Amino acid sequence: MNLVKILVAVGLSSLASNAIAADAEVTVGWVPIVAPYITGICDGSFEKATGVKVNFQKFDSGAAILSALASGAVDFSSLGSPPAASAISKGLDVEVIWMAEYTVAGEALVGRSDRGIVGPQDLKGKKIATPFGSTSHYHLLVALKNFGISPSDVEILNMTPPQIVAAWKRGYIDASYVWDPILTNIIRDNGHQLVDSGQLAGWGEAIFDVLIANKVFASENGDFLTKYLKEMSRINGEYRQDPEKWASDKAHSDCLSNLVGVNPADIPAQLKNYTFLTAKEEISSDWLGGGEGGRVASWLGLTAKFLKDQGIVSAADVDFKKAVNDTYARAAAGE
Amino acid sequence: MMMKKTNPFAIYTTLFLLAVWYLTTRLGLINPVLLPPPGAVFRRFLTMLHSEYAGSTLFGHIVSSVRLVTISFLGAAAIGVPLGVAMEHSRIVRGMADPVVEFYRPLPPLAYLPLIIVWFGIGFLAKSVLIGVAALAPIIISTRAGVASVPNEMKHAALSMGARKVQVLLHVVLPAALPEIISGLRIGLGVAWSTLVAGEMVAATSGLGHMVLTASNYLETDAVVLGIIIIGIIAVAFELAIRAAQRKFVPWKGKA
Repeated sequence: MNLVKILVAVGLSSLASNAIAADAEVTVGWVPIVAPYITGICDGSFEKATGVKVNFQKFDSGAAILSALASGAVDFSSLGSPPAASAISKGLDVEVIWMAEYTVAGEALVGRSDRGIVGPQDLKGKKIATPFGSTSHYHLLVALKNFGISPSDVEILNMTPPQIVAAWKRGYIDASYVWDPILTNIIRDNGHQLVDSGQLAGWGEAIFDVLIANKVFASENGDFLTKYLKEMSRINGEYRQDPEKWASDKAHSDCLSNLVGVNPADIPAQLKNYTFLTAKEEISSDWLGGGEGGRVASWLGLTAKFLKDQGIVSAADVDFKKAVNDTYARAAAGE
Repeated sequence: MMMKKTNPFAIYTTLFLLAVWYLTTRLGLINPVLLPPPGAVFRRFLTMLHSEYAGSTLFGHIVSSVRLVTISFLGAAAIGVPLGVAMEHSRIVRGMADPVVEFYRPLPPLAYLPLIIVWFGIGFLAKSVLIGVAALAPIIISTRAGVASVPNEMKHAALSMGARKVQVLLHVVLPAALPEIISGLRIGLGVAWSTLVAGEMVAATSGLGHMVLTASNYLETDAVVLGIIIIGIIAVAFELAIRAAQRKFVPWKGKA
């Protein structure tokens, strides 16, 4: 019955005001991924731009972020589209304030060619590992559906990326849907790529990461969020202007290899797995600014529907347009 | 220790907690995602009786976890009790086993989980080794304490009447040590259940721990609460079974 007590305490604490006092900290969640804005954690540029002390909290999986967001332990965080869609459709008091990165490659379904897995039909009866609750888990289910394979015809195992690479090396698993840098690792070790997230996006089910914020926090700290997103946009713009030059900067590659654990030589290629946007692009009708027609709201809606059809998330249909708030991105773009 | 009638305060506390749970959710004091109302948990229970969630129906998850815990626990008992007896009887066995048992006993199972995966894989064996190893230490320690507490006079009396060493062990030492051994088994069984979720954390396809973890990935907190309640109920049922065995096999316990 301790759970009840904890939940009551958590519930009460989240009722308390989240506004930042003069010297208080903001807690921001992040996921290790090869992205330009990670360097803002290393060089302290987010803190310089906002004038607020930021406590950056690293998470390995979306599941932990969901719990942290639900309890108010994290004020905002990057989060994969499937857990974001389930948080919103479950009525958590959160909103999407930024499209962090759109995955065009760098997540893929890989089979062991030395066990004869060279096509989708070879997967039947095999062990496929993926981190549950992630974009990869979601895309694995989408891929199986497209291949006409029922999830019960294969063995889907829940593993974290570090566990996947160890299990792959030991030969415990036959296939995996996972992201870089682990993906590159297992492809080099007898891996045969069956389908990647770019192809699946082309078939109508895209994955991406968003910045998702506690609504109470956001409404009380609009100024902070605007400055934060402005800095995000600046870093993304600097990267976009000359990706090769940005990646060759030693401070940038040191930071990414340090915080994300990526081999410095692989950084330029892995950065190309994603699309990063400036504030101007974020608020365009293609992305946040488009309301329900924009990609963020419509893709989140599709994701939620898929998860519901698969029996993974039980929730009412919600209006995803209302969960996307472009106010801060607009202010950051100077509008 | 043995209660003929249930303590009324146990019932009051249970009813009080259920009432608090019902009222806080009913009055909307807490977001239902953080604490699902009892009705939502019950609805999940009904749905899961016939339809699959996290790879299996509720019954399938229960069978999978009960099988895992039972086999791991029986394995731990089959090794722990003889080893505990041997450690008290032989200086060599004690010298070899004691440092190992004392070293790993306080380690949290999650700390050595990665090693178990590397050594034993990701299948049933690895899960049962993890749970069995965790349950082993309390069984060994209680068995040793039980054997050590047998008075020398009892053993000498039997020996002087011509009993062989094996007969002393089977007819004097073991019955005298039985109450402590059963206490050790009770503690070991509790540890086995509390290690279940860690055991099903990696590469499980069914089981109550797996169901709870999967549900937490998508904030399906009603399934999380359902899983916790069922793990609790089954663990209590196991505990009651061992207490019944205790009354049957050591009826003299506490009446000396």
